[in-house]
Amino acid sequence: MCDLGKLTHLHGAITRFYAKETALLDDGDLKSWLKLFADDIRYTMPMRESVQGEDAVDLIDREGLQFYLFNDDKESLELRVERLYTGLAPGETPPSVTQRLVTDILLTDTSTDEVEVRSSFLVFQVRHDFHETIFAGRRMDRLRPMDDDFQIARRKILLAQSVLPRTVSIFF
Amino acid sequence: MAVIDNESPDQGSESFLIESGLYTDEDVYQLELERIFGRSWLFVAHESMVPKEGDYITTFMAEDPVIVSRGNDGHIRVLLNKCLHRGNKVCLFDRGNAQRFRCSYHGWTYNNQGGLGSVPLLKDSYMGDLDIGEMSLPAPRVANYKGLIFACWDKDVISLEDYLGEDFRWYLDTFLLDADPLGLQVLPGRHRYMMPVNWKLLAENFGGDQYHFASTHSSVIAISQRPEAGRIVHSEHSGEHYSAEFTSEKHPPHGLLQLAVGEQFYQEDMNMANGLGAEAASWVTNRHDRLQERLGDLKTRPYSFHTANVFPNLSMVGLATALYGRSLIVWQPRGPMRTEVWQWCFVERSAPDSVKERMAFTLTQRQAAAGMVAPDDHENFERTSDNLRGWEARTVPFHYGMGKNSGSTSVLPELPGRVLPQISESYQRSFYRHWRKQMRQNV
Ligand code: FES
Ligand SMILES: [Fe+2]
Repeated sequence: MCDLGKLTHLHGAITRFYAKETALLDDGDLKSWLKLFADDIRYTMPMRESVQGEDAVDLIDREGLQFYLFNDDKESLELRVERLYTGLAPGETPPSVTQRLVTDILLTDTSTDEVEVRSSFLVFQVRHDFHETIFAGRRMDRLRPMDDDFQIARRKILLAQSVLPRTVSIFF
Repeated sequence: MAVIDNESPDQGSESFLIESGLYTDEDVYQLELERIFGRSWLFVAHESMVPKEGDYITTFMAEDPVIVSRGNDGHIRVLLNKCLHRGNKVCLFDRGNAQRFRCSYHGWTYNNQGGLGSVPLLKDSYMGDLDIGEMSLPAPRVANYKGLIFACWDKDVISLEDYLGEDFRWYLDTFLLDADPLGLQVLPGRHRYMMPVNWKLLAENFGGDQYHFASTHSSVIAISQRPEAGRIVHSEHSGEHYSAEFTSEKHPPHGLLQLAVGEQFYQEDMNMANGLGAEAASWVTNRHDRLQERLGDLKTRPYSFHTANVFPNLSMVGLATALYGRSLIVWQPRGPMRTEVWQWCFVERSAPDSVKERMAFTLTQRQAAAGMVAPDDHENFERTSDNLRGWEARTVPFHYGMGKNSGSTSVLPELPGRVLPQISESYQRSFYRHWRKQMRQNV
């Protein structure tokens, strides 16, 4: 296969992987969703701030000590999911209805085995009654090829919002 | 206005039924902006947010946008972020460093001490008929209590020290502000999120409502024994715990929760710190030694408190353990049934990196915008607010009667303030009694 053919194939495989992930989240199958993550996953979401003289786009890559919205590894993601499965959390009772769109899938680095992927997402969340929220943002993932599929080895999320429309009880 | 002037139904001096109108009424809200937020010391920043000359952050005093600016003279000022010409904002970023703030509308430019420095066409079009030397951005009174910067629009307000009160300051000093020899350090990334509820229900929750934890946050309790929870749990339900209330005719009421007494809490911190390594363990040991010095020869040995509220809308959380981020929260009112939450994470500056990272991690996982605690509070308050749309529902008052007959003496008289059982609704009663009094003062 030529390079373009390989890239198209890879892009298709990653698109299918994300569609599968989105379905697990929208179906509320969080335990299966967790299995998409590598054991060494780092899952982060910084809080957006507009800092004079700093490029807002850089925020998604901001490293170092900070007050993240999500700053998770496999163990803490598992704990978050376990908590929701207790059925005791008012914030997810009844569970939110979500409908996600994941799009603009761009392979930003294919030079090593692990693929760097940028994508955009829109999450429409219905908490209950008329309480509807849209979260919009972008993700930067590092995907690790694994048995004809992928594992997420790193996920960086940045929401577009600078004031969150509500507290966050769902995943991205 | 009925909800201010009337004592609630069947109230003696100890009122415990609160009318729903306090949480829904637009007229009450507008009066609060004037009489509560216009006359109270409001938290605006911590020194570490503006360490260098020219550093600033923008924030709010209730609905009023302000700049907290460390001017070229080194002084921290609070400036209304509103151009004197025709009202546009003069500072557009969340934070940064600036010599001047230039209004984009017609170009009036202010220095970082608030003074109007230049006006386009001052000579040619104003013909000298504008004395810019006399003009500066409106600035409230500012006071700094051990790094916490407060501001107040009322020129006659009592001093910040008196406002906080000696008893409450002892707890602030002992467990937060004097705890670290190098002080507190703010982390980048303050959270901002909306809560669809009146600000008072949030403020009094942090100052007085330990009662809700076992029910609202039962999912957190249910997972606390799991091995994955080891990094973020602390004893809320075992060991000796109290609440404390600071009520006086001389200052507004402040309250705190989860006042932990005894050595067990230090032992738990040591166990966690040991997991982080020798450096973390020795830091926790030294920290405990310093605490013992501050406590002096008190027979009662408190280790920490966890949450608090400073009237009206500054809350704290995360102080229970040495490994939890110290968090300040401001409940910025946004109408009678909306609050914009501002939340910062601080770490103790002398802590090793491993501890600082754990502090931030624990706060993020728990009482923060996407943590495992705050969304459950959010949901309760959202449903409460939904209910208050109902005509009939609005006639049913809120009940704050717990412990109303249990007397007012402190259960630990050796400690400052009124120490009460862990679960009580005493602070809330004081909160609303004071709120009503301050709302009635029409001068
Ligand atoms: S409104 Fe600011 S210069 Fe005119
Ligand atoms: Fe709570």
